[in-house]
Amino acid sequence: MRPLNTASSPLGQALPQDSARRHVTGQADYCDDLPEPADCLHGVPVLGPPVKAKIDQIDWANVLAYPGVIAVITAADIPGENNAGGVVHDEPILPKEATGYAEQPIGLVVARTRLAARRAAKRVSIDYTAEPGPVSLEETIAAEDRLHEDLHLIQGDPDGELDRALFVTSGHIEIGGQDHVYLEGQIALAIPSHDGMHVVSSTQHPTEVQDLIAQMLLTPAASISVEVRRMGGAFGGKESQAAHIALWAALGAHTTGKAVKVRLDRDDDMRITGKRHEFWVKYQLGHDVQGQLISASFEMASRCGFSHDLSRSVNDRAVFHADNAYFLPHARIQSKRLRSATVSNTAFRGFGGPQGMMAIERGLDQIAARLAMDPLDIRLANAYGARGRTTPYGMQIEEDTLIPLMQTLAHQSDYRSRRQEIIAHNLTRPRLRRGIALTPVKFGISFTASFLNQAGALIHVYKDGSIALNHGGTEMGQGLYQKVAQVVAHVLGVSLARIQPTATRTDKVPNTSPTAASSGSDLNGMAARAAAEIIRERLTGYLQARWNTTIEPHFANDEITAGPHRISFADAARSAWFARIPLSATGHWATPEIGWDARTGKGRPFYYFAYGAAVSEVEIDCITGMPRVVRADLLHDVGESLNPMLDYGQIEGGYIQGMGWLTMEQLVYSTQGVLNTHGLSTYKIPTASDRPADLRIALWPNQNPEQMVYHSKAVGEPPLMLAISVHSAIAHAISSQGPAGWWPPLNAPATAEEVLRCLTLGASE
Amino acid sequence: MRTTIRFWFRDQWHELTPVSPTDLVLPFLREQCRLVGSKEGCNEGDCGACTAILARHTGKGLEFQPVNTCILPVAALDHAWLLTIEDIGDHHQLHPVQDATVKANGTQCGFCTPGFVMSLVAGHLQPTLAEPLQLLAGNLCRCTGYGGLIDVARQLHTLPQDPHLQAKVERAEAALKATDSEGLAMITPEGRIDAPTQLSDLLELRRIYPDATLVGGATDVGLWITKRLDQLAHVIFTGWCPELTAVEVRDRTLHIGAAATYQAFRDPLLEQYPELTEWLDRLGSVQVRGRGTLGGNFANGSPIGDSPPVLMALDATMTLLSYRGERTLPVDAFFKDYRITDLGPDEVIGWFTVPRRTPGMRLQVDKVSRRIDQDISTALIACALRGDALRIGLGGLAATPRLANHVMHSRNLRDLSLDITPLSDLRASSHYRYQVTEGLIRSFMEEHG
Repeated sequence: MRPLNTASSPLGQALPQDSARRHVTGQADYCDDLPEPADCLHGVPVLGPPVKAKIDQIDWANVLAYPGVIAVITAADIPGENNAGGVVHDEPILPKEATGYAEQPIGLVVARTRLAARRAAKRVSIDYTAEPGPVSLEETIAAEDRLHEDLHLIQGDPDGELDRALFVTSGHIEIGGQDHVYLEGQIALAIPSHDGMHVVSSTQHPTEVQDLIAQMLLTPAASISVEVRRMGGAFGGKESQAAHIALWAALGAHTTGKAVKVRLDRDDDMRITGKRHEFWVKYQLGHDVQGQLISASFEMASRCGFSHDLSRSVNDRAVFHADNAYFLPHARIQSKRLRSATVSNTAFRGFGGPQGMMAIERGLDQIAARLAMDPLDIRLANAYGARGRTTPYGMQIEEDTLIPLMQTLAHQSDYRSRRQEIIAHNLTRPRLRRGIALTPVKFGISFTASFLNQAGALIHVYKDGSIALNHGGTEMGQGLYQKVAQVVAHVLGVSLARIQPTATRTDKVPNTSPTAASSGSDLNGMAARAAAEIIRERLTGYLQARWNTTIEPHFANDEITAGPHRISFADAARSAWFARIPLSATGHWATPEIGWDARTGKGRPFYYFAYGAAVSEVEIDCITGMPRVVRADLLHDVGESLNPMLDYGQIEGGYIQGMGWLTMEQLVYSTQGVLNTHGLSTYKIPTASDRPADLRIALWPNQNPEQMVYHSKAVGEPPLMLAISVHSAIAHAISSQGPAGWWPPLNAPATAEEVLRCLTLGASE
Repeated sequence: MRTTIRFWFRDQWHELTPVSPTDLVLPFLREQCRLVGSKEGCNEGDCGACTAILARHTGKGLEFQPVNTCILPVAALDHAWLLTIEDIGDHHQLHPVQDATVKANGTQCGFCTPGFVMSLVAGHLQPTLAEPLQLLAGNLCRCTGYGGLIDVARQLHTLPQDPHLQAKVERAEAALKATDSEGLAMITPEGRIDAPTQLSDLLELRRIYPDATLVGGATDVGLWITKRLDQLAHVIFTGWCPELTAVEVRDRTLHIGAAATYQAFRDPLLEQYPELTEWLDRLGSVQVRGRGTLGGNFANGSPIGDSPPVLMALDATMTLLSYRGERTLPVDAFFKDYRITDLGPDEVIGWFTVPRRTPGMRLQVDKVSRRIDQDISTALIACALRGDALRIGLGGLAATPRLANHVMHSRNLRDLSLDITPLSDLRASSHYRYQVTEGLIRSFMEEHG
């Protein structure tokens, strides 16, 4: 691989997150760490009835009487639109007559202290009439209340080919949701000013927060500014969900005329913010005796919650990833988006993609068991590039990455001999069974809502040669600020120390897209590059005139040189200013060539794909069912890495988060829809000891064939799906409990209980 | 009566006047002192983002203990040194642990990072505190996947001490050496705090104020405050009485004070019963075990406490104290019904007496939970065989922790249904609990006859 970095450019260098030194000293400020304005008030949401209900009457007297309470704010206080839904306007900021799910907030207590507000909020008395709706996935599917029309994607003649296939392997799989568990809970601080309102919000989507507040307050968007310097994690959970909190804070500030902060307690956060969509997928795979797929049918249903939120796009992405990495000559993918009486599910790293891929991976394992073959051979025989390159949505897979990547990983991880050893180990029927699997990932990069694939950036060069960098992307830990700074440093030939990344603000770069869909460095990197190139062109023109030369100046090492001429970057900036050259520029980027037909599902939804594969080895305890990942080998394609350190971090973190989703993380609701696992004492995410003791990560040497920032690739979401290998390996371990050819109907998450259920099934086969 | 808590903080003695018996350390740091490096992630002692270090003088030197400040009552600070992330390095001049964390790619969003750094620094100051993975088990990170943080934990012994921090350690050691807490008896605007050092005072307070809340390490009471928003009018801390914190190895028994922390009795207990290592490692976290007590775990009366089944299997007894005298009972007799114990309104739990290991005895403890580390038990099964005597302690399988008396007697697993009545809840179904319990007891019986 050609190294991106030369001695003079920070591009491609392994560098930590821009604030790493502040993180480790506790000197990185998050929203709650900022000094509060004088007289700042605190808002706490008042949770509604413990079941979806019609509100008959609310008695606020005890709440208002609590010492320190300033106001109770309800829907009646909203001057403009009572809506928190970014796409479809169907989600009230505060419901007026009825709630959509158990414990949906019905008001906001504003008090002098947060503790007073929390205590007061518990004193509300609500008369209500329960109007229960579907809660579990099963009930939701039975109720079949469509949130919007199905997407029904057809390629070729799926039914006819299924009829004609020699083998049809079928089944269904249930896939659980996931709470984001960003360590910094949802928070916003709204500060009224004579210009309007300034809002510090922990959000991935400052523009949407701005728009929704403006609509709520019937005020121009220009009077609302939203700022976010950093988030303490987000993972999709602060794409649309952060708006509720910011809207409450802004409404409180509007009503009281004082600054209002709303910071959710963890348990409230878990109860009232959306999560990953639960899915149920029925699949039928028609194949030949070698396991080559001929036709596939997927029937998906997802539990979306009580409102639209981002469910359309999440489910679209699930449809576009039902094939994962495999060529389906004929395919039918039907996707139902169902309403339930639960909190509205939302974006979560992978955005439907992970759920979409689960069924085909299960199906291929099942085919392999049935044909007594190594599942890897089935996967390789069907991977794009082996026989075909057209996806069910009609997009061509042009890169030849998948098969060589899988083969290389199989070789490097010693997959085949380990698999033989594991099969031999399990034959002795020990208490601890082992399992191994290699699964690939092909993940489409671009917002499927095509208009979102744009970004803006703003660069100021000051007279001393220092550079303030701003763009529409938000920093949630992924290292976006650092990567974009590396791009700008490269274009202007300066050291990173010269560049100051600045907080994302809607009054600096307007009309931004959410930092989501793994697009952050692609879109903002391109926009910042464009802005930096404008500055470079202006300095080039100025210096060529000053030096009276036509030689193209070279920007490197904090200097600009052209033949015999040489000037430091700082001196160039100062002298350009004297010469009245503008040293501020904006850049914009819009991804070309993408677009698809929402009715048929056909077209090019993605600009390119990111690839990867993982081998996971697990151990399960046949008495308790407890699974444990003992080794994992990850090989991932980030194109030409902008920053290997940050990319490794995304790969490892994504894998572990995916492992949590597919093993221990389980959301448990009461029959009425109250979330019972609403704290970190009951909802368990992986700890350090859950990380496989042996974890090996490597980058696939590759260039993005598309022109995205210096041929790098997006990395935020794709690695999460490497963890599907964990699920598959657990199933492999369980399969040893059944007869030859049997494959367990393992659902997700593969909790100890689910594993034991399947072990018991296997023993009775 | 004192009205202030006195502790070493930021290089000097600091006096703090609590407003309420339920005042906690994290709000003190973040809101009163505006020291915002310690973060609130869960507000229930699970995520560790608020981790600070509490150091006490043992007579020999300082002992460093990482703590979850979100559930730590301010009274616990009395005569200790509270170190926070603000004491450790600066972004211009990092502590070696911080420098290693940056280099190891140990941070992404950074919100959990100060807490991790504090746990790591505690392990660096006190290498005997815990094994590398154990040192990190009380801190959650959702971004990194832990690789870099584990690397730092593993290389702690190679990192030099920081001269700035060492100077602070020396000053704190000198200051704390000369003093010892004489106990607390404070009226605050919203209630009363007592922390007697004399057992007779404790029993007298308990007699006069039977409604006051007895608090050991507050690892559970802390959650009543942060989550249920309980306003406790009167709290009495038990951990100031030496009789209640003593841990002694006697001729035939191990004596464990009810207010001794898990950390304090770890070594003597594991010396007798090395089979309990995993059980103890998986009970809470380093932060929780440095505060939590057996007395609290029992008095709480919860059916899912991790220690009652183990002490039942070991045939331990407990001694209850009151101004009337003391009485000793087998630990299984303590639990009457769901959350109802035999503790009288004027009694406190004094100590536990655990028989020492006898030759040839067999012990197996299995904790079944969603997650390996720091999780609440779905079921806990403790089997002990001493000579011919089989004892099986069970947690999470009935309204109280209990012995499997029928199975112990008949040695027939068909009788298990007479011993347990597991529920379905957010952790597991009753069916699963039954199946696992049966399987684990069977494995013990098959292995040990």
